[in-house]
Amino acid sequence: MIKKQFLFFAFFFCGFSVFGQDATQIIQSMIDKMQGSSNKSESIMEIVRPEWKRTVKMKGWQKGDDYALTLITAPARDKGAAFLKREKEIWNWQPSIDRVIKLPPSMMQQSWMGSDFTNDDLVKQSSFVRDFNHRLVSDTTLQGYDVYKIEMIPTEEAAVVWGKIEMYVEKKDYIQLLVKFYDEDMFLVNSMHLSKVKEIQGRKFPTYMEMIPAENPNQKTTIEYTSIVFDIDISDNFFSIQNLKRLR
Amino acid sequence: MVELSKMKKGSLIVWIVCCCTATLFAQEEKEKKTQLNGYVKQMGIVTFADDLATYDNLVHNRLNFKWRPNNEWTIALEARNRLFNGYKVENIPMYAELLEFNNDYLDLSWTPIDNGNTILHLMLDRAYVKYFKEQLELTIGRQRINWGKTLVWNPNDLFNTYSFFDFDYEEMPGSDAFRASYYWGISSSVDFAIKMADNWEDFVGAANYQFNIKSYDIQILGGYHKRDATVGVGWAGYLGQGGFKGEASYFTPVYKKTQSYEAFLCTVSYDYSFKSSLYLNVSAIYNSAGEANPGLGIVGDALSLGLTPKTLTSYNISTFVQGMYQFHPLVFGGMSLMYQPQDQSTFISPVVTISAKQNLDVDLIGQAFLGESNDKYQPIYHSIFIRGKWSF
Repeated sequence: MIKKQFLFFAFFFCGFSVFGQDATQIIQSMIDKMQGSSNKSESIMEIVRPEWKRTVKMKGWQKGDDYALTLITAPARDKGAAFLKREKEIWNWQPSIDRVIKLPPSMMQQSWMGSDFTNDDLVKQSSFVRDFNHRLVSDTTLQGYDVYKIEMIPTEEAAVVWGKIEMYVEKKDYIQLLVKFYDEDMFLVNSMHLSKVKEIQGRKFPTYMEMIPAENPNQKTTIEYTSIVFDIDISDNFFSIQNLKRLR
Repeated sequence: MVELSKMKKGSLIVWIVCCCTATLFAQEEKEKKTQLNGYVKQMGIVTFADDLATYDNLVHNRLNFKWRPNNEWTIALEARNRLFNGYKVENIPMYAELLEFNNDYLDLSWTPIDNGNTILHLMLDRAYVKYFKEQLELTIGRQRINWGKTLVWNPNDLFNTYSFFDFDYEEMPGSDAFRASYYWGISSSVDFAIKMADNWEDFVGAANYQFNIKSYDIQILGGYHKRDATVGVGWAGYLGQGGFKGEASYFTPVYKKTQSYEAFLCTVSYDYSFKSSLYLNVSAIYNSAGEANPGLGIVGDALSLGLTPKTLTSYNISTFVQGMYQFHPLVFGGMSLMYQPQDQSTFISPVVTISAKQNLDVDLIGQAFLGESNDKYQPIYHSIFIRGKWSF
């Protein structure tokens, strides 16, 4: 009898542990898998509508949460333009006019090059840990994987536009598979589906992302990584104005 | 037809060789040592003035060629080729000479066709060699030295002043100059630049120290600018979630006061991007050498040739508001408004850019000037521009 009670207690305790603080650890592990300590990537973004499609090609360098460099390599009109983010500061390099333009922080909420991604979506995964309280809601399956469903509610002081985010993370390798973004009235705004999981440097990484607006399910923006290298040796000083001008 | 005798045949050959070389090198693009890109634009312009509507046409080609034999060297040649037809070519005497009016020391432009109906104007507006190693960067030749921080007026931009009204020159003019830059840390640098000239009236030599404090990019500059000594300061930082930028420059004659004049110009701007993707920019400029009621008014500012940082506005005060909005992923547009409180003269410019295909943009642009004319406040002059741009 006592043994049974103990087992019940142990089960309950462990359950609480997973359902409580571990939800944050799951998100942290997922981000570590998705970003590494640093990474260098090449990707193709497609804005897809029933009648038309536009393609943007990019090269990116990222270190931790705060440093990112992005170089546009196509289309022809924007080729050579580059963006530098250091903590809250963002600069845009326009080589044709030899000008570094400082962008206002409010621009982070805007659509990235007319797509369904905001600037924030692309460089601010970090805040998934810092700016939210996490709660494990349930276990489920997705794309044939066993996944955790985690509910993320922004903390009061966080400058986050979402009312709630639902994150679906594969259990074994912490693969990010689905993110649902809700507005402050808890209406679903966007769903981000991740797939085409490939093994890269011993980690399982979803190389394909689709952002689908809830109101217009026949629209989407996709990003496919054509190459990505994790944990590269890159100093904080790489993310400088000087380098912004010299990327190629 | 073509007055070949007037044309500098030798120069044209140099130009043709440059373009051909660019094309040849571009074939090797696989190695990524060379790069060729550019665009072709077709623009129709309808202008309304004095009960008369006129039409002008401009076909515009740009070729940007870069050769990077190794990590340290870059050689760049960029050609701006324009074919003009229509009312202005036929009716403005010496129109081709007006096109030749520029900021340059070396003559790198040619007019192979100028027959009263058509003008073909070719120019190299960038032609430089750049060397960089670690923190040092040296550039010699025709280049753009852009020290501006704000969108509309740039009193800090000592080398190649650009006009906000000249929207069709996206790359903006360059200077024949030597520039040495030294970078350190994240955003600190010192620029030293001199512009080629054979007299003190055209010479510019200045240094610019840039650094960052508490999310503010700050620059302090000083030097010699066309018979004046100049000092200036510029900044770009944040105020709340918006961008707060500004530039101030002071010019004082080095020689006799009769040869130049004192001027202090200061511009400030605030820009903000709403979540809806509405972008707002509010700016103002003060020019101590400006007038409350300049003779040619706002139209004079728009048509002014040989703009310098001292003549960015002929008014004491000018104000500016711009709102831009992404109406659709393929449609971007908005409105710019420049207003002079002294005489209520106004410049209004609506813009719509449509991405018609992956590399084809269609722009609709309006420019309207309102002000005092014949003792009456009225539209003075306005134009509609329809432009197609194919980038490659």
